[in-house]
Amino acid sequence: MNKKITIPFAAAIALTACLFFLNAGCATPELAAYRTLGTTTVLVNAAMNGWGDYVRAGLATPDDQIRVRGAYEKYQASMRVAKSVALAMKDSGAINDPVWMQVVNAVTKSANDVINLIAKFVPSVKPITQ
Amino acid sequence: MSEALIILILQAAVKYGPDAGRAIVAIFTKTNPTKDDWENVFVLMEKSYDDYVKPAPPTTTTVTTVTPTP
Repeated sequence: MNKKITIPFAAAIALTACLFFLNAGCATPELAAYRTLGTTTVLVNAAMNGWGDYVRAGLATPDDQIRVRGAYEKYQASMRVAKSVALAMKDSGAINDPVWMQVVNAVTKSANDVINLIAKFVPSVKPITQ
Repeated sequence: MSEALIILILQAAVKYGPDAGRAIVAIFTKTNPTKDDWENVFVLMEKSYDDYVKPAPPTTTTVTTVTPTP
């Protein structure tokens, strides 16, 4: 059971590293933000699906669940800000690079926090920062 | 398509299933995302924590009883 759960997290970490590498040469800030945010949602969704399996297997304590819930809700809050900025930008057609960078950085940080926190409960997974 | 992108997509498809791979392909093949494309990016994050951890629905099994003919 443990092996099944650990695979998505390890892959999520590898994919996050690839994501930053891939976006380094993007042509426009909007496209880079779109790709980063889009892939981030896929990765966090995969990590949370793995966490769901972990919880359903009875391996998570109530305290663990409170912590992951908190991190996930923080990620959702940062994504809501990103959504409002992205849609406002599409409506106005104006791109504000510093705002974009701030929003994308906040989302990727909170997404990494979710993945790293989940990884703490699975011994074979190392945090992204290592 | 760069080698790193191909690896990313293959990893996603193998580890998370074809849906994740397709989702990443769709994201990386857009060159000028529309407002609808942006809206679609944010659909997944609307899923609540409880949606992820809710118990799996019970599997239903159909039992067919065969009565032997006399």
